[in-house]
Amino acid sequence: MKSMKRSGVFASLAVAAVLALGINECAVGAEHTSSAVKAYPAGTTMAKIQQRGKLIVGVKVDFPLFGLKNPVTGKLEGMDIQLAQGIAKDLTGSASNVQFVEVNSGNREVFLQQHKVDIVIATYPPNPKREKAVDFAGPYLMSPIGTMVNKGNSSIKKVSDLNGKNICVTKGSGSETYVPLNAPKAKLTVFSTMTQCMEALEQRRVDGVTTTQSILLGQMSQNPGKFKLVPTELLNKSGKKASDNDSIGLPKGDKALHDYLDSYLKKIFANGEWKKIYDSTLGTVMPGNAVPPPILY
Amino acid sequence: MSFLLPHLDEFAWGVAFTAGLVALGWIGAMILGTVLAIMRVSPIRTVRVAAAAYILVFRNIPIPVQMVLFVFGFPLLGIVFPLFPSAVIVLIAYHAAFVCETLRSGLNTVAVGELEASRSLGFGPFGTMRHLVLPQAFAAVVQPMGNVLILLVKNTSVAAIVGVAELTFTADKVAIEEVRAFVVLGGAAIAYVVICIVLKRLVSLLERRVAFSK
Repeated sequence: MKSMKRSGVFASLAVAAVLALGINECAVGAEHTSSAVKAYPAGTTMAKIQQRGKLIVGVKVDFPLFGLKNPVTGKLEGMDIQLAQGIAKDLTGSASNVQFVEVNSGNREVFLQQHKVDIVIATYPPNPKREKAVDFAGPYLMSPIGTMVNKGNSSIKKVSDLNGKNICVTKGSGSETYVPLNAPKAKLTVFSTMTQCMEALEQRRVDGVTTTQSILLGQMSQNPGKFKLVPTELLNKSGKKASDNDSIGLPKGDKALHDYLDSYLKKIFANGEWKKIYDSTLGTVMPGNAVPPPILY
Repeated sequence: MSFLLPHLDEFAWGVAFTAGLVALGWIGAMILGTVLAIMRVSPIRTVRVAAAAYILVFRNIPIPVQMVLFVFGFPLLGIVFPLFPSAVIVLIAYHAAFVCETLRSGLNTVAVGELEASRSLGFGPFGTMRHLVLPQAFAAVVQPMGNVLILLVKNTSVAAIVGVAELTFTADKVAIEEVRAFVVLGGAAIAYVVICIVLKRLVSLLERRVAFSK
C-alpha cells in the first residue's frame, strides 16, 4: 500500500516535470518567432539576458505610482515597473519576460554587486557614495523635494518653517541630509519605510513628511483628502535646488549595459513611450505637462 | 575603516540607547515578571487566571508585531507615547512573561514542608513569599534568568523598526549612507556579542555568590 502511494507520487511528479518541460519549450519557441529583437555581441549582459530569456529587475513594492503591489490583482504597478517591462520587451521581444525582485533602500547595492539582479529600478537617485559602489544610467525622472502635512496644518509654508517641527524622513533618503542642512532646528524622526512615516503623520506623531515630491504625490493619491503638499524647496550642499534624480542602477563597470540603458531611455524619451508611461502613472497626480529629464549619468 | 570616523558619535549614542533599553527593560521586566509569578501561584483563582492570560497574550505574539501594534495601533485609541518609552514598555511587557515563567519554575523548587514550617512559625503569606520563597526561587534560576537577559539584549534591536536610534538602527543607517552593509553591520554584531559576553560573565559571578545561600 505504502509503495503504491509512493509510485503514485513519482508518477505525478514525472507528469508535472514533462508538463513543465513542455511549457518551457513553448516559451523558447515563441521567443524565437517573436518580433525581431536586436542581437548583442556574445558576453555582454544584454546577450546574457537574451539567452536567459528574461530580465531580472530589483524594484520596490511599497511606492505608489512607482512600484506598488496591487492588493486586488497581486500584480506590480507603477512607473518603475512599466520601465522594466519596456526594457524586457526591447531585449527579449516580450514585456512579460521580466522577473521582479523586491529590494529596499538598504540592499540595492548588494543585490547589484552580487549580480542577483541585472538592474535596479527603485526610486534610486545617485549620490557620491552610491556611485562608488554601482553605476547609474539615466535619470528617467527628476523631482524636487517637498513636504507633506495634514490638511488643516498651516504652520509649515516654507523651508524655514521646518525649524522646531518634528519631520519624518526615511532612512537613507536624500532628505535625511537635506532637512538638517536647510532647517538645522528641525527634529528628525527616521523610519525605515514611507508607510510608517505616513502613519506617523496621520497620528500627528510628526508634523510633516519630507521627501521627493513625486513620492509624496503617490502617497497622497492613496489617501485622498487627508494631506496636502507644501513645496518646501530644499537646497543641496552647493546651494542649488535639491532634486532626486531617479535613475537605473547597474553593476559597477558594465559600460556596455550602461550605454544600452542610456540609449534605450533616449529612444523612449523621443518616441513618446516615456510620456505614455508617465501619464499613466505620475501624470495622474502631478500638475502640468511633463518633459523627459536630460541624461546625466 | 576611516569612513566610520565621522559616525563615531552616532555609534556611541546607538550603544547608549541600547544600554538604556536593556537597563530600563530589565528592571521593568523583573518587577512585573515577579508580580506575575506570584500571581500565578496565588491561592485565588481569578488572580491565577489573569496572570495566565497575560502570559498567553504577551509570550505568544512576536515582539516586532507587538512593537508595531503599540506604536502605530494604540494611537488609533488615542494613546500616544514618544518612541523611546514605547519601545521600553513593549520590551517590559514581552520579557515580563519570560521572567515570570522562569521564576515560576524556581518557585516550584521550594518544598511544601518549608511552607508549612514558615506558616507554623507565624509568617503570613506575603512574609513567607518575601523571606522564604522568593530568595530561594531567584537563587535557583540565576542561569535561566541570565538567558532571558540575553534574549532582552538581542530583542532591543526590534526598537529599530519604530525609529529608536539604538545600535541596530544606527548601524543600518550608516550602512545605507556609506553603502557598506557588511562592515558596519558586522561591527554591530560584534558589539552585541561583547555586550552579551559581559552580561553572561556577571550572571556567572552572581550565580557563584548565591550558591552559598543554598
